[in-house]
Amino acid sequence: MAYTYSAVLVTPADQLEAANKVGLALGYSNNEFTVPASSDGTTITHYYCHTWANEVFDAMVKCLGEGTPPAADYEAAGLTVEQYFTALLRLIVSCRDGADPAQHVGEVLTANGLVPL
Amino acid sequence: MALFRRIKPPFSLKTLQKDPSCVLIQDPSAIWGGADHLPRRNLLIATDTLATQNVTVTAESHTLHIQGTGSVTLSGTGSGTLSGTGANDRVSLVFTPTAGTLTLTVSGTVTFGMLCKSSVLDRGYQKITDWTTEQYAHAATNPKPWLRRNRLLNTATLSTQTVTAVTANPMTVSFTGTGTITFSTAYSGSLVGTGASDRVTATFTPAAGNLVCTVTGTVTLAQVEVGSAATPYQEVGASWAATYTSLAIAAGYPISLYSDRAGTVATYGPDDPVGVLLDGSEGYAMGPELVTNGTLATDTGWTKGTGWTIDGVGNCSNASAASLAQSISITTGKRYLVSGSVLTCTSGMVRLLADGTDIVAAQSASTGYRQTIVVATSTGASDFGFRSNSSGFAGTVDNFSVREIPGYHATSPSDAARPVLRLDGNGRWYLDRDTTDDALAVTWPANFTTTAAQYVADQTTTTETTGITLNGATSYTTPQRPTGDYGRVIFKTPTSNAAKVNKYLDKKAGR
Repeated sequence: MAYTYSAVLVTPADQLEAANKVGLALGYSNNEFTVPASSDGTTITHYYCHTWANEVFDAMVKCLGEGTPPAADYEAAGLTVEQYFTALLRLIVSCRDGADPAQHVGEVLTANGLVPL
Repeated sequence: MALFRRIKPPFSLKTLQKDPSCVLIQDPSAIWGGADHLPRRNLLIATDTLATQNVTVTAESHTLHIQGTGSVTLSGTGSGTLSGTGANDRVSLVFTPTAGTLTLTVSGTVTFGMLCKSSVLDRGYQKITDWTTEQYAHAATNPKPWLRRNRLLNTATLSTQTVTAVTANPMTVSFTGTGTITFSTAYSGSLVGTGASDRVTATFTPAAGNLVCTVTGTVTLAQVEVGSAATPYQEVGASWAATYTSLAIAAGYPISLYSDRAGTVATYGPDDPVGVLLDGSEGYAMGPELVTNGTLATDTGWTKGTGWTIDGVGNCSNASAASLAQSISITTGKRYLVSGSVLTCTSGMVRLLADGTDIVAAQSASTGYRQTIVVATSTGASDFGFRSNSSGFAGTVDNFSVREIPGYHATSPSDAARPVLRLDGNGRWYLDRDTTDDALAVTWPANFTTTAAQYVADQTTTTETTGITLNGATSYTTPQRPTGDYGRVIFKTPTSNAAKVNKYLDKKAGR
């Protein structure tokens, strides 16, 4: 599986802890969302990360877009089912094969009215 | 007058490793076996007589070469038309696409097509039938075991599975046992076993796609490989990546790049992430074995938890969260390669126990070699060994090992921050970072040095920076996309060999 996909993930700041736990529940490391962003240019309102991804991740994103959340042991990660679905619902995810990551990040932030801090 | 002049050896990795002031070498090209990957210059397939096809390209200058009287029209991420002028005339078109999928639409007769990055030095025609075939053909001429690949998983006793993305080229299946493998989807047919010790083989050419292998009865030591003849059986466990790691370890090749942050699986090819990058300044050497009686030859040196016994191997009788462990003296901050083998697994799962912690990433519900790299969190005695997980483990283990890996190694701070190993158009390896959060961090000792000099090679230049303070610092590598990171060397104090280091790194980047 080739990591040729560019993936941008953005979470509202008030969902940061839950979003990181979603990452844990899906088998990723903690503290994935490390870069702050803002909707007003001064206050941190969101955190985001970019990751290289493969076709498995892309398929998971497509399923999520169709309303099918990935199966995950969210309880082991410290989330209730409500917290798990809320964090997923408020997560902004974009996955593109072969995209330039800097350009991709910029487009996703702009499309959601955000600027990096 | 001297008849012979002594020839000085070239400045090399070994020269750097012997320099006592050299404290870090990060070398993406040190992927073992990496030099044996066939450098791909031609991005097209079926190139002798070209057909319409899509190619994933990056946003940089490319050159298309063709012969014949037909034409190729670009669309998608690029535009333009290249028209042939004759069967023996070679014409070319230089263009810069945006990143993404480029469509090349062929009309008329176009032969000997080649699309490569314009930075590629050797643009002589490279015939590509399809990429998988090229890789396997190359592997067949090379003795390194991981270059040949059994496409099945859990091959000791086979169960029904699908081999994905086979190509329309000859494949050979072989196995022992009295059962049957029935193929479907990409190929229709079956191979019937003739006995527990008889090896049966068959060669067929599937259609491109997924090859479904349905197993009935007992099929053992099974292999499906590209090629028209069966090669010696290669056992594969639950994942090819883990098998690849164990094959290289067994063959005595050092592993310098790992795709996961726990150091359980090697980075084994282009477009694979890098979670751990080992420092080459110590030559990827390993310290002495720290385990007593790691082969479990005798019932000594181990503390047996509930359900564990030793009789030449370690046996666990389905106890849950029980350890077979021994106390080993370690030093905080140092890294240790911890490994062991699961010989049999009747039920449940077993993990490696390292520095008193269960390594879930090295958990296994199947047989095979497992490893992890841990950073010691304290100085003194700590527990290492095997531990059954909470659901228990019934099976046997063997060959436990703990060895220090000297040097200052780099780890990505998170999974999302892992850079990806890439192969450029000239067959040179580099780290691709996203410029957002990708990083590989090295933690330096306190009171280390304030006079370090760093040399970093990217695609355009090698940069020297002096007067760097490393005292107790966590050094994050600088994002460098799109030019990539071909190598990095740090000296504790300024080196008199600066010009040679620059030359060494320039060579890594193809200059």
